[in-house]
Amino acid sequence: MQQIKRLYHNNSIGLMVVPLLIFPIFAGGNPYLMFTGILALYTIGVTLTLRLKLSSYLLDIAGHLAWVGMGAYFSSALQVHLGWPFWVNLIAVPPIVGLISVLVAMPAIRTQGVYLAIVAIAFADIVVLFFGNMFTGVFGGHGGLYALPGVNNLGPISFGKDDHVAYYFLLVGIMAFIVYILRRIDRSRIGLSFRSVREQADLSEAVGLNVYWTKVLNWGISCSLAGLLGVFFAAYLRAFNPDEFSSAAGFFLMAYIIIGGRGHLLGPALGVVLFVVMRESLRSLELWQSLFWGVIMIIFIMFIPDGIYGLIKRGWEWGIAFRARQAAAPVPAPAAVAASTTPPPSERVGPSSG
Amino acid sequence: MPLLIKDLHVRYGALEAVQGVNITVPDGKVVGILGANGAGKSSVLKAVAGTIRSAAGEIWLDDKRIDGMGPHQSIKLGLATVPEGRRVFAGMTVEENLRLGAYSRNDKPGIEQDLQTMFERFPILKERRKQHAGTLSGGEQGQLAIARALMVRPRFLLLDEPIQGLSPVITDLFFDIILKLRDEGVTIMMVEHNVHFVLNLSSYLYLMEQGKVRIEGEPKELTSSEYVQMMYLGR
Amino acid sequence: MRFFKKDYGPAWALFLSAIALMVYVLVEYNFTVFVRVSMNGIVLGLTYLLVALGLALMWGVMHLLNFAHGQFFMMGAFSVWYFMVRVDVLTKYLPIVPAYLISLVLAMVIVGMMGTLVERYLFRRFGGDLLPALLISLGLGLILAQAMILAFGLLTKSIPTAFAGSQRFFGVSLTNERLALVISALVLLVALWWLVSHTKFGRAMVAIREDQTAAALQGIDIGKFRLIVMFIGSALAAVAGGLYGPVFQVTPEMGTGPMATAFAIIVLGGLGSLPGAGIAAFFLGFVESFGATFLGATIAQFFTFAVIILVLIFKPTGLFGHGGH
Ligand SMILES: Nc1ncnc2c1ncn2[C@@H]1O[C@H](COP(=O)(O)OP(=O)(O)OP(=O)(O)O)[C@@H](O)[C@H]1O
Ligand SMILES: [Mg+2]
Repeated sequence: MQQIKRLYHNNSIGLMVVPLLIFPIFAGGNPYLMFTGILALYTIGVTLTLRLKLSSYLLDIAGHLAWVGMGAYFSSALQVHLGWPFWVNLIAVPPIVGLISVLVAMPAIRTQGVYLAIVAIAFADIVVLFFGNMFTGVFGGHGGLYALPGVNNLGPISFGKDDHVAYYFLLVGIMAFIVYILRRIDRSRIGLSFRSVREQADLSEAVGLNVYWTKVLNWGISCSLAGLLGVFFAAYLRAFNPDEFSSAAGFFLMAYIIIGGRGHLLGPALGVVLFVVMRESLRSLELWQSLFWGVIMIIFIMFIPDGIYGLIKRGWEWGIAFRARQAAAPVPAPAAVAASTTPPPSERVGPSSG
Repeated sequence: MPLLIKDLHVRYGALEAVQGVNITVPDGKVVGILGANGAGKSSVLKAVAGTIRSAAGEIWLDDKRIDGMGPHQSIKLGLATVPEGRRVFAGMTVEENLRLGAYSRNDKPGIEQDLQTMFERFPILKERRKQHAGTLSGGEQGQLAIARALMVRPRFLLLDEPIQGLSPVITDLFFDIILKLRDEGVTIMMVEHNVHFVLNLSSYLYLMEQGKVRIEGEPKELTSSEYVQMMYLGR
Repeated sequence: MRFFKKDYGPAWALFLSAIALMVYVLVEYNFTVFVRVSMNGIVLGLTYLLVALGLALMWGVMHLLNFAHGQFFMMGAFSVWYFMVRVDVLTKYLPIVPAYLISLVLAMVIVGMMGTLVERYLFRRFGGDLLPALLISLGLGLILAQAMILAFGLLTKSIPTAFAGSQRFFGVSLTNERLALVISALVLLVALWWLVSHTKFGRAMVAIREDQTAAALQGIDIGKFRLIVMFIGSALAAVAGGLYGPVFQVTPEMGTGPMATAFAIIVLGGLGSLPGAGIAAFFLGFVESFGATFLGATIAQFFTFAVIILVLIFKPTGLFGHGGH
């Protein structure tokens, strides 16, 4: 199973800042583009919070959305029934979600690998059942919640239904906060203990680290950040139902990550964009959509395991190499000399294919 | 029946663990492979057994080319293996382990007879007959592993560190068994760190280093080599 | 018998709580209700068990979590429907019982072959790598469900029953259809049990589960085995679907629920453990039947998930599992 050593790539986040800020200038007038952009960004956020998790990363996705859902439901309920403004929820809800997740993790973290993933999935489905069937007056039952108030206006900044740009920058702010937290963790002792548990749980135990509590704490942080994204999700969409946080939805998220590319933060976003493009272009062929999606998934896993991002990266590198070769071609004399001396003779000896 | 390994290459990703090894095991002889940890000895053995694919080269058993064959095919030609670390089936009883050793055979009476032979050769296995193999001591597992391989009625035997961790008494037992098998005409290729054990059993030796054969020769030649004296015999 | 070992505490707890549930029904309601709930539980439990055993075999031999398994179940039901209703050759020239049995066999063969093809061309190249194979099976599941909708439409199909009439047991009537399901499932289970515990095939299977390389060195052809196991597992799902179809309904989504339950069963029982799967299947079948009658389906589902989580907390490798992944 692919494990990512660092929680993020420093340079990749730096590279993303400029396009992030420029995007609304190009897309601001087009609500559809803005919506796609926000969805892609939100998916990156969810993947970020998931990457923090020490457990098996991809397999756990199916259970991870439940925590986003909790954030969404709690903040909507607080907003509608107690009149708490969005901004208060943004601060109050993540710790609540985190607390619940710690209570769940304390027993659940004893399991490992596939079993832990299944516990996480079972829990996600319990959450979905809970929101779909319990306290229907507050949580809306199977149909979910709709006509939610959204984000409360902040002074002169209005967060109306069509203020996509405002929502966009709100999400950018939330993402910046998440990245900041992840960075702080990565550089602190906690981050060190996370990494050491991920690499070598047995060894960490021997060194005196409390692996159990490290895992519980890790789970708590990851889930509360997921809850934070849930608060935004609810306020932006203003309508959602419990199924959006089910394990089935989680498997779709898994597909985004695979198809987009696991090696990079932008991967999942590319996956989402591909999905949205496909859905829009196949509007007339609605019945064929999930069939296409299944075929695309299989093709990517079989032939392009590093996803769209990997494809772009390889194309890019190939392009650079190609141009270098072209640039080298017109000056044959010195290049040829260099080439004939560089490859060690031993490399040619062994037969290369069996 | 002789075993021929010609210019064998084994790769694990970028790492080339075996780089052009040539080994001949003549009919009815014991041939030993020596070498430091990580020299590629087990990789050669696994390629012959068919549990890994070779990257290049040829492996011949008699007049059949066996590289590219799976173990289930080469075992039909009479090739049995005691793998590195024994790998007995821990959750099964001693008897079940032995019966699995005879999986490739279909002669029921022959199997029953061989089972009794094994119990005679290794009395401790008879005692532990109904016990789970995982609960056996290391030495007992070593005996079970070789007995399981013998259940194939091999004409050719691959041994990877068969006496690792065994007490002198059991080592002597193994010594006798290998001699006896050789006298019965079984051809044997053996990887072992115990130099004296190999020297006394083998008719020919290969010394591997970093994926290549560094020195080869008869035991006498090898023991007189300065390099071997320094590295392996501590003289 | 090692059933009294401390390790099996959760298994006993589960068993005792099932008994407690039964006693509760007996005391609180009456004998007839009890029999009806139990019968229904047995019917569901057996169906789920057939589905779950395929999954358990696949996990044991090839470390595969096959998320297309529910669609194999659905395809089984669709195949039977296809041969019984869509092309009416069989029903035209044969009495309904042989026609149904032949359709069942055809469904097993077709879906079993599909399983082997999937193994050969999709799963095999990933060896024991869990995640890519799992994702491929997810994609495959999407494709199969959609393909059925495209081929045969969204409408619910029904398979005519081959076994009309009913029997009375302790004052409760049980349709012959359900009785046939129970008997067929039991026959298949006994056959499977015999195959696993009394044949060379079964011994080889256990060996592969323990140590694939060592098993190969004994002369077991792993590749062939994977194909056979895929065939058996898929065919079991298909026959479960074909038996379930006439009793309930045939829809493209009909596999989702049983597959979720089947996963719960193999995890509860301990991945790869066949007896564990058996116990878990009956427990969950009974819980579902009990819950559907008295508590409503949602609470029963709730209860199911809660049981899974609780069992795994106390025994992180399932009731009869040894060692994690
Ligand atoms: N499955 C594998 N994947 C990657 N590298 C491997 C694998 N198996 C062996 N190697 C590497 O190949 C080299 C040779 O290994 P091999 O097991 O053949 O050594 P050896 O001579 O048997 O050593 P030892 O005496 O310790 O058993 C080693 O460097 C080892 O790390
Ligand atoms: Mg070795």
